[in-house]
Amino acid sequence: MEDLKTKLKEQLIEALNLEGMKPEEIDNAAPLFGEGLGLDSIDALELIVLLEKNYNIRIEDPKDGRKVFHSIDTMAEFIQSKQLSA
Amino acid sequence: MIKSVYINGIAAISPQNTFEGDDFFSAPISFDDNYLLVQDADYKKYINPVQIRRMSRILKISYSTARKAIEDAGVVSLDAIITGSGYGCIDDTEKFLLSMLHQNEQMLNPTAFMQSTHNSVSGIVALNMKCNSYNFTYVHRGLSFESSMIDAMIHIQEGMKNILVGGFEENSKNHYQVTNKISFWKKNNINSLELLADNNIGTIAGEGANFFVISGEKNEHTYASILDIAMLYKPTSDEEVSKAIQDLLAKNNLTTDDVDVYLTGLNGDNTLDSTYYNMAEKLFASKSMLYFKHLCGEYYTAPSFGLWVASMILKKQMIPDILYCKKQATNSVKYILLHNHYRNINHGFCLLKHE
Repeated sequence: MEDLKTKLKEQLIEALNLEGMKPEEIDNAAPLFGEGLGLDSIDALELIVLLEKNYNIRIEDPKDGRKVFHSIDTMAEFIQSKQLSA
Repeated sequence: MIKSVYINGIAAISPQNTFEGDDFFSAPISFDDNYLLVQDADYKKYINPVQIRRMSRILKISYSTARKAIEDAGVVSLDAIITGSGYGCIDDTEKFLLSMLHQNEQMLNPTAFMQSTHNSVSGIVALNMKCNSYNFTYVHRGLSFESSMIDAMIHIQEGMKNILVGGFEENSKNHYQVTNKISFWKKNNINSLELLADNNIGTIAGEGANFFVISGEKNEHTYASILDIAMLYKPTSDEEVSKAIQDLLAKNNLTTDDVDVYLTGLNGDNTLDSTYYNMAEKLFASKSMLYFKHLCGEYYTAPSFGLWVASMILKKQMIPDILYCKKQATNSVKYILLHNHYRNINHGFCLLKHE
């Protein structure tokens, strides 16, 4: 699980072009939107593409996105649960 | 009566150190791979951290240059923003198209698509300057910049006070490779500062962003005035080019004798440069002939870099040695004719005067 979170943070930094930021600087539990990293709606689209491209996981219901993209912890849990149920 | 048009603010990010300070080619930078990239500025000084991460390289370069030109002119608001670019944000366009191809038109990243338009630059400047008025981008190949400048000059005649005009282009590996196949670029790597010594087909690829604030009023910031701009499409002979130059001068009550400096877009391609040499010999035999593409490389809007060079010469009344193709003694520089052509298809002429 920790490896997945680290990998996810690296992918997030690359996809969102978070220049100068390192994976260890992103708190696993901190909110990605609003406070925390301060991401916005365009970043949400980038995260949807990231999940689909790297993990072959599609967010079908936009309401799920809110929960899934809350933090690195929630994203990692979601990916793991999808991989286990596949 | 036609209003004079003044250049009151300038800025350039180019393969040379043209952005910070007041340096005018005191130590020109040479490149040896026929692929010139700009000297990056400290973009964080001009762009807030939230915006910068979503900006592509050309957006950062162009936006910072635009802000610097506005600062240089000392203006707080703009009446119009007009830009010219042959390829716009080509790197993002390529990214977007390649991901469509590789990912079978699925899972496309929104950011590259959003920024892939030609008018992303003028749009971002407008958003940040809160400028809701006229905003236009000309995409006319080798005449993109000249077209934007003509539009701006017309708007000055119609009463606008301060207009931001810019030309920008970025180098991209894909574009370089494709155009290399049709001999746009030199086959052997050369030292860029010795561009004219290589008597072969092809030139060197370049990039840059060059912005100007033009106004109908002269002030303490003024660099020069633009008397006129003319364009010529696909001339069939050098006589046609010669006539276009003489007509432009006559329209402004001048002759070739009045021109102190013939500033050209010589690019070292032996199949394209002869027109400049013929004009220099026939029309400006006793005048200095200058060139600038060994410093910025070839690109659709390179004449905007030529205009930056001309503005600096006229304000400083000094010509750096690196610009000379042919040197003639001159006490002062009052009139400059800037002549650039893109592959002998698009010819642009800009007549400038010292103020």
